Amino acid sequence: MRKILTLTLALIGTASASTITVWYAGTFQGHMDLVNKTIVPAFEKANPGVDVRVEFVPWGDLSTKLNASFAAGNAPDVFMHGAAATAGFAANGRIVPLDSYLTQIDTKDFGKTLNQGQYLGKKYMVPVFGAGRLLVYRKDLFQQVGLDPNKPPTTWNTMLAAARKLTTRDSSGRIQRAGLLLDSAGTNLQQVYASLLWQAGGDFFDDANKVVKFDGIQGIQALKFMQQLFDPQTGVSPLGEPVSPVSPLVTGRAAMLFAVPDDLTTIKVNNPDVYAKLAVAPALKDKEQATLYSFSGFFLNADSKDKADAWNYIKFATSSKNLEDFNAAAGNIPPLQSLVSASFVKSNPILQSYIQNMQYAVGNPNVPNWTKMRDILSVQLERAIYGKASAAEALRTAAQSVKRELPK
Amino acid sequence: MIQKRWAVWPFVLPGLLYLVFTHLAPTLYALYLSFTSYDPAQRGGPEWLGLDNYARLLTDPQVARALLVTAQFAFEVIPLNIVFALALALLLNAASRRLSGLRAAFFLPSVASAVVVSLIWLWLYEPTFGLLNQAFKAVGLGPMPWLSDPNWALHSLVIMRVWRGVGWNAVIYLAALQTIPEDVKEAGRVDGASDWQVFRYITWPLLTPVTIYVVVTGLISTFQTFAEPFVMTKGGPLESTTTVGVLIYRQAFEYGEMGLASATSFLLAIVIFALALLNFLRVRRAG
Repeated sequence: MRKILTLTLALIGTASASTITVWYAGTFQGHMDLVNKTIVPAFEKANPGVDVRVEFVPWGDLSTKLNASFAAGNAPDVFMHGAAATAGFAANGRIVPLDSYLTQIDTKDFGKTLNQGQYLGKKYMVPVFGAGRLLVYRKDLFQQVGLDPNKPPTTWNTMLAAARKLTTRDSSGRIQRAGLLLDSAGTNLQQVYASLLWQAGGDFFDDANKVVKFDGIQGIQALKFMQQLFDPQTGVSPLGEPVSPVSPLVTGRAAMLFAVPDDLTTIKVNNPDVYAKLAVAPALKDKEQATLYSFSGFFLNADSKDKADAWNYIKFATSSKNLEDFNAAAGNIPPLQSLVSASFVKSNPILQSYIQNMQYAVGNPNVPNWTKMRDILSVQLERAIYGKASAAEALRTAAQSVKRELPK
Repeated sequence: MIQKRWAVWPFVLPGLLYLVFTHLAPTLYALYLSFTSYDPAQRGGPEWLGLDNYARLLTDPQVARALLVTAQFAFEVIPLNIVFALALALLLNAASRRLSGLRAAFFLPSVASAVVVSLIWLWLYEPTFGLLNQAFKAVGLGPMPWLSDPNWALHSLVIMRVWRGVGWNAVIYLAALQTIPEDVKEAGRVDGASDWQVFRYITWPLLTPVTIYVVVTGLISTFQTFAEPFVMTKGGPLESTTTVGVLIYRQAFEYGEMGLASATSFLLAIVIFALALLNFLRVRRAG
């Protein structure tokens, strides 16, 4: 009889338990340890009967895996993504507007970061961390070539002049040390172009995201400057530099590059001696002072069978304490205003520079199909820097294809 | 008699069901999708488009370029593969006992996962610390831009693919060489034929059926190449390694154009079938 009772209770217990799946973007070890060893066990303890299954998906595979899982009907209840993905998922009804849920938390502390995941007036994302792309340089190499390490480049021209001084070539003319190392393909290429475009006073689209603008004068000017940086004879960055497991700032392959805070945290952990020689330049200026910043955060799947528990997880994981630990782990920009003065920020001058430069932050456009548009543009940018098309021709071709992707 | 006829079904059915559910049904569904517009991220399912996707393929420069890249890859890999595989097979055949232990070593890359092999070669091709450039440096040669130069990247993938495929084809050639009767070759030698003439006029013609097999299977596998460029170059630089396989992946899973990707897959199947048929007809005409 006791056995039957135990079995019945066990079955009832099983039936009432719920399992929610959560996908985190990125595979940073510090984040994985924190989530697996601290955040999830604490949430499960506070919410008996809720089982959280976490998966860490590399950024490069995130959109692909999400699309496939939505098609298969097994998308995670909660997933992390960049704010620029909001419009696409929202337009397709894949995510839930969080406005009614947000009344349960202190939204004031999030400030404007909550607006990053906004689409057609509704909020879809709770921000978790932010990142910006700033010029990072080796102070020791600046000194070596007679540049003042306390006077970093602030404009396109001063950056190019410094990069030329820092570039070294071998006897056959090949770049040995890049004055400024840039990726010549993919998302990173597009992100650097985005900053240059905004600095030139241009933008991707008009304010209503209806008209393509990046093929205008400012866009062409930005791309021409990029072509100058990659010029095989007089440029400062080699074409087709493959991804290296060790930062080029560490190997001495690069004297300057555009980096996000995570990149520098990895250097801090593995090469503290090199980290001590790094400094961050302010957001560059041509006509405008601007650079790419974006926040990533949690989205709630519209098909989640357990939205209440899924939201509870989002609420728990974005509590002030958990956000502090999460952002401290990778040295990211916290989304809460109260955390700007947290000890992990105060003790990290480089992170402070990133936070100070947020006043010049511009985000990628929040339009449906943005990932595809970004890839279309990247392919054409690549053609231009390899000299296969002029700046104007490449941007015109990209604009024609991007126009077809804009919502009708 | 009736009982006998029904008796085969329990044996055939498992295999048949496997084929129907894992091959035939997905192929038919993909054929249906190729006439539709279908983005998995959107709700509402596929929308009928008729022949629009196929018409788009014929005018899309990306498809034409990917077909050219794939064809170049295939036509570089297959002849090199045949030459090296045959040379290796002849070597193993001539000294089969002494080198028999090496057969497994030559065969090993063929059974290793394409992704694992690609990751190993990615390290070999690494510009600064990679083994190949280190070896070049040791003999006073400059570093090679193996995967970073659009003029070199595809050839670098070819080298890796040939290395990977040689062992497999060498085993096939070796088996065929061992079926050629020694007295036929002996008769040639008695008539005064040199070793080269014995190979050219006796061995090589007798290997024709095996060569057809190697070419056809080579066409099928090289035209479907995906893992190597996806892992090693992501189709770059400058789309110089974007094979049709990589393009299909992008269309389906990055751009959410499952209908277009299905149409591209069928176009690729038609191209492979046509090339294989052409090869058969050419050989038949040559007698």
